Amino acid sequence: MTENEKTSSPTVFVVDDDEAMRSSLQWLIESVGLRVECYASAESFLEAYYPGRSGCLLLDVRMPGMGGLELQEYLRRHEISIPVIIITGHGDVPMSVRAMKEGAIDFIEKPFNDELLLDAIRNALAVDERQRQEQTLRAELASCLATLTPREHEVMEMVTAGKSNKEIASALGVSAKTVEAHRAKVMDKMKASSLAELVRMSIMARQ
Amino acid sequence: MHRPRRAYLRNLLRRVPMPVLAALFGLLTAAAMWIVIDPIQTRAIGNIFDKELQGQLETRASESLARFDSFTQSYVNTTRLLASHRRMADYLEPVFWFANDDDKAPRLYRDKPPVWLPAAAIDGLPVKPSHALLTDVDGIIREVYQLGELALPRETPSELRHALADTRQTAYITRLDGRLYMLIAEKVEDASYNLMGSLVLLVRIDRDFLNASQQRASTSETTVALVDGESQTILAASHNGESLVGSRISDLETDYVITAQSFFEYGNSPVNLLFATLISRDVIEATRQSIIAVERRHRLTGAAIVGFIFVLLFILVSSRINRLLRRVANFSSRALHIEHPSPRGGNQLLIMEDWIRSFTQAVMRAREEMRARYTAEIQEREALKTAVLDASLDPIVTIDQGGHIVDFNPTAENTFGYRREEALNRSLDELVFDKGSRQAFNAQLYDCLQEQQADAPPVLRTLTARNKDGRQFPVEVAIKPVMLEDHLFFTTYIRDISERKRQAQEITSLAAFPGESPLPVLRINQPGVVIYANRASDGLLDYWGCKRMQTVPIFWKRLVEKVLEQGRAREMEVETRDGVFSLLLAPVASLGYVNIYGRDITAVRRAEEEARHRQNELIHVSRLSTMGEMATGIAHELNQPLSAIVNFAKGCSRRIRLGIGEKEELVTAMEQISQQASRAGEIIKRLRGMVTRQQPVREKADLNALIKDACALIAHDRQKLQIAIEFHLNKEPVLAWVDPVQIEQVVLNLLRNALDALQAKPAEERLLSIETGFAASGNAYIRVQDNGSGIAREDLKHLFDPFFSTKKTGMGMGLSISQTIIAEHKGHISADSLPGRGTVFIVELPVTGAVLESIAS
Repeated sequence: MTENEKTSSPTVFVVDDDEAMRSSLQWLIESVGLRVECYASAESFLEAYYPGRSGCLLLDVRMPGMGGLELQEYLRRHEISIPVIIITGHGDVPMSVRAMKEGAIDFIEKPFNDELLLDAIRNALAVDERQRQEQTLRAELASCLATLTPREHEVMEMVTAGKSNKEIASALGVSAKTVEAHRAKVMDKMKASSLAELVRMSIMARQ
Repeated sequence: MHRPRRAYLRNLLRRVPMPVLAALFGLLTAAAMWIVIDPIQTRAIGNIFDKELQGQLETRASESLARFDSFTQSYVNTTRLLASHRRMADYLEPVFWFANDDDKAPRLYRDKPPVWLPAAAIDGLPVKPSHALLTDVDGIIREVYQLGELALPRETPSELRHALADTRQTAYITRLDGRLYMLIAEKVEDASYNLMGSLVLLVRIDRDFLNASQQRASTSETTVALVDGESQTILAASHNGESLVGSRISDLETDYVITAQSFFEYGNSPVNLLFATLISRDVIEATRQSIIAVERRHRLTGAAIVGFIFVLLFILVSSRINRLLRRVANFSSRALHIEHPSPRGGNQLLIMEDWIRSFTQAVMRAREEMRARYTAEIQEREALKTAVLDASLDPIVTIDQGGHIVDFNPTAENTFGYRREEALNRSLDELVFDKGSRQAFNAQLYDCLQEQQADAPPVLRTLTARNKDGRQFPVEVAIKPVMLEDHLFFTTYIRDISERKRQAQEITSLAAFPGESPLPVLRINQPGVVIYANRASDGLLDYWGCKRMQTVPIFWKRLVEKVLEQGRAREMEVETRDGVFSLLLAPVASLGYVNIYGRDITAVRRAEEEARHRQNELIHVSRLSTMGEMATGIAHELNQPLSAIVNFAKGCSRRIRLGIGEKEELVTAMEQISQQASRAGEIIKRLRGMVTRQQPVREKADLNALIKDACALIAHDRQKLQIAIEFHLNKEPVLAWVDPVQIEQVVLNLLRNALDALQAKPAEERLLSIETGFAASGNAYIRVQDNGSGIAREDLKHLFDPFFSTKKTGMGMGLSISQTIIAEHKGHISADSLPGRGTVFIVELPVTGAVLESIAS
């Protein structure tokens, strides 16, 4: 597997202190043709992982050293948005709840239903994909926004807030025609085909 | 006038030496004896001789008659022999005598003896018969054999008729023609036993016949004679008495001593005959004189011997006495310093007598002195006695024969309340004794008189006395009779025994004290014999298999010896049929006993048993609750392998379904499955071990392994708390004889406590270390140390108390149970803590060997 492949194809990262658990998960997940990387601790995972790698994280909450929750927190702090599936033992409900609040997308109780697990993984991978796409989109949006003048910014704000050209003109103290011209400029710069799209872009940008 | 003569005599006697005096005395005695005895004895001998003579004469007379009888008897026998002789029978066979041949003269044989008479038979007789006749049955003479010159007496036929008429009389003495004959008739028969008549022998009784009859007589002085009873004249006499024939007996009495006897044998003879024995008086007198002479000689010799013996005896006795006296004299001269004359010459006896008189006077004087001294002494002693009597602790009362008090000592005054003057002359029994006891007292008085043995101890009697105030009390009375100058006194000792009685009663009740005990009380002596055992000890004795006064089993015997030796009490426990008893063996060293006090601890033991049972239950419950607390951890633990199994299995099935996956891969995965399954099994097994309630066992177990197992059970919590355990385990296995599950429980408990204590600490500071090894004492130890919150000092004291807990959720049983478990292992658990710095628990357990030993014991 080349470095390129490694980065492009999504990987399921398994972090569990139990060796049997790791190898069995790897065995199961690989059966559906997904790449699996196993780590015995959170620390070793962090060493090997770099942001930008696509995939999802299968994380055991109870681990010696850095536990699952701490790792989650660490990822959040470092704005690493890899989707996290929490693996819990029976009855670890409070912990699972905490994990979900921290932003885990799913939690699975041991012993696993393979379908559920695999579905969760697929779902997580999809989320990751989408997130990656959104991230690309937002980056583009940001670069477009960066091209806008301050006046155009104002106009865009007001347009997306649903104000009419006249209202904007009176608010800005300019003529309706000028507003019209800014509007066209914004639409152009933002590569928006319709007002609706612009509105969506503005929302996205605001998130 | 008398006195001087006596003194003179005495002086004379004093000069004569003793042997001479003795000889004189002996001779005098002999002479006196002769003079006195001789006439008396001579007369006496004469009398005795006469009496003797009379007896001898009678004897001789009867002997003579007996000889005569036996002599005549020989003729009778001869006649009987001839009559039944064969020749006679043969001769008579052809003969027949006609009855009417009266006139025919009998056939006469003179020189030649007839055929029917064997000459030898006749010749054998000392005196031949004068005639032998044969008569027919009618008594008529048929044949005559004449042996001498004398013709057949004329009176013969008539005599024969008379004689043969009486068939019984076959032999007698008769007078025929003035001469004495002995007639012997015997019946004759012929050869065919026909009675033919009689054979008659006629024997002349004359001097020769009588001489022959007395042939065997010892003395020749005796003359025998046949006397006519009517005329008292002698008809025939032996040898020298020829001249006497015809003379009257009365005329002969001057010259002869005559004894006349009647015949018995021939009593009914037609002639009245007497058999006379005559002895000449001259002969008798001569004999008498010779005897008297012999006797006199004897007497003379006797008197001489007596005199000699007397002299000898006298000398002997006097020398003896002399020597004795000399010794006495020597002694007295030495002891009493009395001079004594030396008896050199003269009559020692008299000298001695004089001396003895002076000696006696000296002794008398000495006695007088001694008496004076003795009297003084007696008085002193009497005073002392009185003092003793007065000081006696017992009342002593002396009474006279009539029972009246003659002495009353001060103790008696105190005891009975009467003053001496009051008591004197009163009757003792009425004064001091109770009515019921008076008779007994008098009986005792009587009894002590009966017992005459002075040495016998006086009989003690218990009576009831009464003092002046009327108070009654028991007394012991002893009476000793004292005889003083014909007056009988009784010394009466009366001892107040009310105090002693009370004590005795108390002792008796005390003695019954152990007997009343519902618990065993025993006493065993050094050789192990049960000396005393109360009723409650029966069960124990049964257990021992012995009885009272028997020896206890060897183990107990040794134990008793040991306890006595060490002098220290010891406690033992036994289970008898009555229950479980704790026996305290207390030595009584001074007496060599061991007292055993039993204590019934059946209830205690039962309670303990119950408690142990409960504790086991509690241990189990605690284990379960621990398990409950650990459920999450356990579930997680179990989930691990299960999840792995599921993953592997699903992975495999997917691959197989899709047709992907290498065979090698699949096999490896499946091996993983089985591995994980067994891992799960292990966990469950361990879990079951913890949960299942088991009877406590003891086995050899490695404490290191137990700790590892316990740690595995808390792994989940440990991880949750992010605690790393530091192991400082002994390199070699630490083997102990334990119940592994229980010890694991204890370790688990300690670990859980440590985890709880560590929660307060920041995660990175949490430290838990476990150490095993061997302590200096040789015990194995487990040391669990944490640096958690620690325990407050005042709580440390109650750490092992049940239901003591510093935790909000704890039951407070964990450490209590742990302590119980360790104690049952004969181990020890201790804790130390510094609040805020941490706690350390140390469990010590005996190693295998020690445990084995303790079990064995």
